Parts: sequence; structure tokens; C-alpha cells
Amino acid sequence: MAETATGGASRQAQGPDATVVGLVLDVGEGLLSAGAETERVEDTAVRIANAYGDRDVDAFAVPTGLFVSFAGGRATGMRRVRNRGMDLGRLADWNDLARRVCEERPPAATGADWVRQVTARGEPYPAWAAPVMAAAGNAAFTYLVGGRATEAALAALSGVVVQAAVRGVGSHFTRRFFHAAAGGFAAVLIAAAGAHVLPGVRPVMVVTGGIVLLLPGLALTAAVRDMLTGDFLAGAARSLEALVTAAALAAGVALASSLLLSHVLGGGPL
Amino acid sequence: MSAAALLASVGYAAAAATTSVAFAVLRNAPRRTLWVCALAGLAAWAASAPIQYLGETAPVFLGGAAVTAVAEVAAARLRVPVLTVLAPGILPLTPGLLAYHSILGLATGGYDVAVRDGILALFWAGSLAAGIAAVGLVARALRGRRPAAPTETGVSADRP
Repeated sequence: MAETATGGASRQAQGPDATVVGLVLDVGEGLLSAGAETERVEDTAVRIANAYGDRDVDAFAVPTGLFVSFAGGRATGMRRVRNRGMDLGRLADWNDLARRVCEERPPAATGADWVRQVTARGEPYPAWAAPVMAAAGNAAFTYLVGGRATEAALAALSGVVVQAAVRGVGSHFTRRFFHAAAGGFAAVLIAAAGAHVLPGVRPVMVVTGGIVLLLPGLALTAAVRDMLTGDFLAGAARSLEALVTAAALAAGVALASSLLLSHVLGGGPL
Repeated sequence: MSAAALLASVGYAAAAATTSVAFAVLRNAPRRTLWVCALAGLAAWAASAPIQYLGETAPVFLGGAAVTAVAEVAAARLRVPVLTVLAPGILPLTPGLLAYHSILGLATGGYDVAVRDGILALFWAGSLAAGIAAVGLVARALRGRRPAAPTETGVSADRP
């Protein structure tokens, strides 16, 4: 923590409390790693520092990091954000925490306790919820785009398979990339197998329903909202993230399709 | 509207809501927001389906706008980030079928289909984004820039 004396008589020259700096960075990191828009992160960092009496704060956030300058630049905090997932529950949790800190202004050490509580919070839904909801969502979307009951059932099956396989994959981006690719691959395999066994099943419907929950919807939405606030750096980064996830999904789909087209389906269109 | 058509509409509306809730649960959305996510998915379908004869872009734009309106209001009421409702809500509007056709075209050498459907999917995603942005901008303007939380000046942090 750098503290430099200024020439002025005011004892404002003392740098900010290290605990406050830590709290601001922890909350900012939490929000970013849950997938928050960067403007929200910058705004929250400034508000928390304001709540502790620091009126001269500036924050700069990108999806992979956060910089905050305290007390007119007498101290600067930086946090690199490595583990990024898209977790709406944690997003709401960190948002609640930030709001509580600003309203109650607890001693910074108490704030640090709250941070530990949020970090330690477990999964909000039981383990069976993911495959069940994936099945329901896939089937519903298949129906929505005009699929029949058998096609919806196959899409539901691929949802269960994909979720059961990737439970615990974690949020590291490389793993999420393979998650999307494996999901696309599995959806096509199940669609092709189903079409082979059951007459009248259109594989295209099964695959469309099977991959809908793997689409980078959250990254794309956050990208739009980032650009909406004029934050083009974050918007571009997130658009790219959405694009890469979509490409991974496409790779899985394309690989399975090209493998199957000649062998199982005799060259007919999927 | 005939009874059969009405029944089909209810089915599609329920399917849209289910898709949104499923995504919300998979992304660990707070339980108290799940019903709003269902509402957002419903709004997506209800705003886009009746004008589907207009092609792709206009219904999707309107759907995106409707979801964003629901999300902005719900976020302010429930005190959650807008993204928690917005992201699940737009899911029924994603250009899944087009994107898939495009990918398949690339994989199998059908480049004309790949390019056509790929561009259509891009337009689709673009109008969805425009719908989200339009209502988002209005919401920002209505909300205004709130002043920072009041503090007594010169109060330093409590030290442990």
C-alpha cells in the first residue's frame, strides 16, 4: 500500500484503509467472475469506497481485471480475474453484499466476513436439478421450434446426458470450451441414433433442442449491455467470448455430423 | 381464434417459459427470480409469435424489447441485477435452427446454405441485440444517474 504525504495541511494524506481496499477488490472480483457488466463493477467499487468516506475514487474494469484508485490516487488496487463463469446466483449474491455494505457501512473487517460467507456459499440447487431442468428446457425448445413429441424426448435425453457428463466441469474457460464442444457432439450422436431407430424423427429438431442451453446467451446479453453503456472494450471482449463458445459448439456439431453423414445416414441430409 | 389454436398457443407459451426457467436453474439463478424468468420467457414468445409473418427481424426485435422491459422492472423490484432475468428470458428467441443449419452446411460442404443461414442468424441476433439495447437505453434514461450513497465527509473507515 503506497502512502505518500502531500504538502497540504489536511491529514487526508493518510492513504485508505487496506481492509477497505481489499473489500472493494473482493466484491469487484466476485461480480466480474460471476459475469457482471463492467459498468456495474466500476459503479459498485466507487460506491463502496464512497461509503467508507473516500470521495475521490476511480475504477476501471475489464472482464478479466479490475483497477481501483483510492483517495485521489494515493493508493491503487488491482485484481486479476482468472476464474470466470456465468453464475446468476453469485451475481445476485455479490450485488446484495455490495448494497448491504453501502447501506450499513459495517467495519471493514465485518465486510470481509460477509465476503467469506458469499464465497463459501454452496450450490443453490440440488444435483438432480441440472439434468432434470436441462431435459425440460431442451424438450420445451424443441417443441417451440416445431418439433414432435419423439423429437422433444430425444432432445431431453441429450440434455440429461450432457449435464450428467459435465456436472463439476467448473468455470475455467478452457473447460467450458470443451463442454460446449462435447455437448454439440453428444446432441448430434443422440439425434442420429434416434433417427436411425425411430421412424419420422428429424435429427435437425433434436439437435436444435439439444444445444439450446449450451448457446452463449449470457455472454451475448452481457456484451450488448456493455456496449450499451459505451463500454466497447468489455463489449468486444464478451462478444468474442460468445463467438468462441459458439465456435466450440459448432465444432462439436460439425465433427459429429461429418463423421455420421457417410456412415450412419448413408449421405442423406441431417 | 379456434380452440385448437388457443391450446397450441398456451403450449408454446409454456414451452418458452420452461426454456427460460431451465436456463435460469442451470446458471444458478436465485430461486426468488425463477417466476420472473418464466414471465420473461413468456413475454419473449408473446411479443414475437403474433407477428411472425413479418419475417425474422421485426418479431425478434419486439421479443427482445419485451423481455428487457420485464427484466428492467423485475430487477428494480426484486433488487437483483438485470442480467439475472434478461439472459434466461431471451433464450426462446435464439436463432438455434438457423445457426445449426449454418454449421451443418459448413461441415458438409453446403456453403450456399451455410452462408445464407449464417447471415440470417447474424441478422436475427442483431435485431435481438437492438431490441435489448432500445429498451435498456430507455430504462437508463428513466432511472437517471443516481447519486452515490450519502456519507459524512471526512469519515474514515472504522479500523478493526
